Amino acid sequence: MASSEELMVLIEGCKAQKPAAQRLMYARFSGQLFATAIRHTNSREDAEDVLQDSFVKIFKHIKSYREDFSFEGWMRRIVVNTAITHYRKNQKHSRHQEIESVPATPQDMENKVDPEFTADELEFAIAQLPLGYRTVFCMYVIEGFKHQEIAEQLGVDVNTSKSQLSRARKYLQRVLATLSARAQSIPSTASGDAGSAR
Amino acid sequence: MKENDTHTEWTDADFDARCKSLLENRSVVAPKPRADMFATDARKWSRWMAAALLLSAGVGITVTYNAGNRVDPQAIPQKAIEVSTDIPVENGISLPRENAASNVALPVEDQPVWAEPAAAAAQTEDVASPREMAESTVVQPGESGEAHSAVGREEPTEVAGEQVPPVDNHGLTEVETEEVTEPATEVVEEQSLPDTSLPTEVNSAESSEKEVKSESDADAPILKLPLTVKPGGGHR
Repeated sequence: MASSEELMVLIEGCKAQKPAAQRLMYARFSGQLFATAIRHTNSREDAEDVLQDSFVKIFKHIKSYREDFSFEGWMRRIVVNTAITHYRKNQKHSRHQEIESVPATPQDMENKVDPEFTADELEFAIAQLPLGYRTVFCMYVIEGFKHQEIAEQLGVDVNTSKSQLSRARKYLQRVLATLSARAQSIPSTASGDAGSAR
Repeated sequence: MKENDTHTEWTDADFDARCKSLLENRSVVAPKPRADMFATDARKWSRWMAAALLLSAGVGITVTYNAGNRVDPQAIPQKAIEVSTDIPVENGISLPRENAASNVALPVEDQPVWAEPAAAAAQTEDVASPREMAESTVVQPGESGEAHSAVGREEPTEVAGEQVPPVDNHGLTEVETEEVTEPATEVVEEQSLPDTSLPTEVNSAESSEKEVKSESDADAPILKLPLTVKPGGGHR
């Protein structure tokens, strides 16, 4: 993580439209922002397009950045907004797929979430979410948007944002619990121990 | 039934906090940036280059236009004079030169009255004189001497009237006469209507033209005049 002074130097260089500063900025933050773009898109190709467009916007509007706000948070918001705009252009009206349509097994309902779930497991679970619920969850939980902001960005009601967040949260917990249960059962099978009773 | 010792009643806040901590700083290998993402210098230079090109093009157009405008006022009388020079190309190019040389010695006072103030009149004069010149050459190609003299006489008048700067381009006279040969006939046809009023003016112009011819011939052999001579003739 770049120090605050180094970051300020980078920001000033980008404000001055210096290509070297812009390249450093991209090299420094492209990984994080690309991960954000992946969470808010349906494919890696879309995520790449969103990332490129986001950096163009960042370099274009960096002069409007206020230092009292987190620079990384500012960039992340640009990526999210770009992803939403990108999806709207390619919207197939499949965005608001209801989570209830995704069946949950009884085992899924019985399993509880392992608090030690990993980032990979969480990403896998998030990828299973329909894009609408995924966007709401990521915007609220990870990017730090408020429900009012989410509602404005997505063009939905605040209550809709809250309800979709709640459903997404429960779905993720269910998936994570299943993953955890499966993970616990695999080593027992491999080691020859008694497998988990299912 | 599986016993899950790690069972924990998660609150929403706990779950959210766990998710955020895991994914907030998550990094993935990003693709290479697009070529146009950092092209700020290239864009600046391209803008400067474009501006420089536009400026140079504008300057070039302005210079060309001004140069063309300088020539244009003299084009008509020049054409008229060139007609006279063009006609006798085959018969004798030297005559206009000789006449021009002789005309150089003529004083400005002898120039026709209408020379400077009436550009239109000068043009009409030019129209008239080359008409006769063309007539003399077209109708009577054999009378090259007279044609030459008439042409040569008329040239300096119009040249003086138009105040053409002296130019020694005797070598060009031949070329110009060749070029004007065809358009001369066209001009004659086009200006056939106002011929009736012009002969008198032509007559008055001729005498003055003769005087100034020597001067103008030497100075402006480039001059071209449209042929306005009515087919069938005018008179001198």
